[in-house]
Amino acid sequence: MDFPSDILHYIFSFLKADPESLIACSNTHPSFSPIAEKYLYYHITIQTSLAYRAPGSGYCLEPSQLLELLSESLQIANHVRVLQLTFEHDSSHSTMVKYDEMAQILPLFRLVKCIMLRSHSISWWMLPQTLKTAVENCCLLPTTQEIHIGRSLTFPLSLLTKNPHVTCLSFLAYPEMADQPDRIYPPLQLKSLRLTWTHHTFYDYICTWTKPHITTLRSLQCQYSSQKMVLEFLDVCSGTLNNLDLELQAPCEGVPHFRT
Amino acid sequence: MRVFLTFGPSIELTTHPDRNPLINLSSLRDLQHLTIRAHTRPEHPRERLSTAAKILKTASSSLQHLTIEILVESDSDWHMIDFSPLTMLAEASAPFHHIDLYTKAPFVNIYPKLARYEGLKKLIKEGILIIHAEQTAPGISRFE
Repeated sequence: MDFPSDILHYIFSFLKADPESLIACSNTHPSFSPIAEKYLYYHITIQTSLAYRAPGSGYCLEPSQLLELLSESLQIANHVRVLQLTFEHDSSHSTMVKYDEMAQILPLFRLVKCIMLRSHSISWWMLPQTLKTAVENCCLLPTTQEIHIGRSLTFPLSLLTKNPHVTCLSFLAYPEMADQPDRIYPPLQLKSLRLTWTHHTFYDYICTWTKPHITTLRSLQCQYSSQKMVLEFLDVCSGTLNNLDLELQAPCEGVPHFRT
Repeated sequence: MRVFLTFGPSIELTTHPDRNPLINLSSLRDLQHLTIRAHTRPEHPRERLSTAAKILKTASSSLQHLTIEILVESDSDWHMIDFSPLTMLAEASAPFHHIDLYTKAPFVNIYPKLARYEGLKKLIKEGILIIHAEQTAPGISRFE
């Protein structure tokens, strides 16, 4: 097995979204293992239960599994570039233990570029403080450029403005209306924004929050958003926008889970 | 006048000129690529594509690449969809050099419905309008 390593890197880089194949490659020959590992841990999802794995979630692990792997090789933490966290609507002791493990692990990831948060109907304020602090610190890493907040998670928008390196944001969630910034931060220079399912309750709040951050926006994607809101955004970024993606559908009239 | 429309599979809304004004692209001087994903329903066979056409008419000359995705709730709805609003794509004033049309329908179902309009048939023959049958338009992250 005398492949040049750059060729192996090139081949394995195409398997970043296919953890099973990377694990199989890793087991094929000892020389493959360190290279396959780099791509296996490129995108990881930490979730309290592996009963459901969303498509495109990368390598899914429970916190205890990841703790064990990290105790064997701390190096794998440096491979993680896309960090996805899934939170459950479950306050059982076992889930709280897993959240605690998650909070212990997160500070080890120092080179994350993209953070993706999703939940199954849980609000940000319901998470343990240690976990919230750990997630917030990941969002504030100077390497973090992309933050994606998934559906069913209320989230404090003020947290997003604390990291001036964030240029790409997608928001499918509900903002925490009671959210108050600890101080005023300079506006973000977002290049890409995606908004989905913006409930009419939040139009004004989201518009007010968003507009200062999109003055140099290049790409805007609005799904199921109000046309009025889209027009307000276009007014702000008309000079820089070169890619627009619109879904002609109504804003959702469903009742959101949010705290006022 | 207030109009009630059904837009999506399970969503109803009130459209009102003040609440849902038409999106106008004329101020977007650097817009190069526009994607429109239009949910169409047999109850309103023209509605969404007609809105799309109105929006497209406001585009500036910088917009050369257009992607349209037509979505329907069920496969049996395809024969009900009225594609006539898309004939504006063949008008001389339309700036588009490249149009990608994505549908979940098979090519054999979608082509005849477009080709009945001479302008659209010509765009297809010239390779300006590309039909991507049984495909989803790229660009939507599946992360939710």
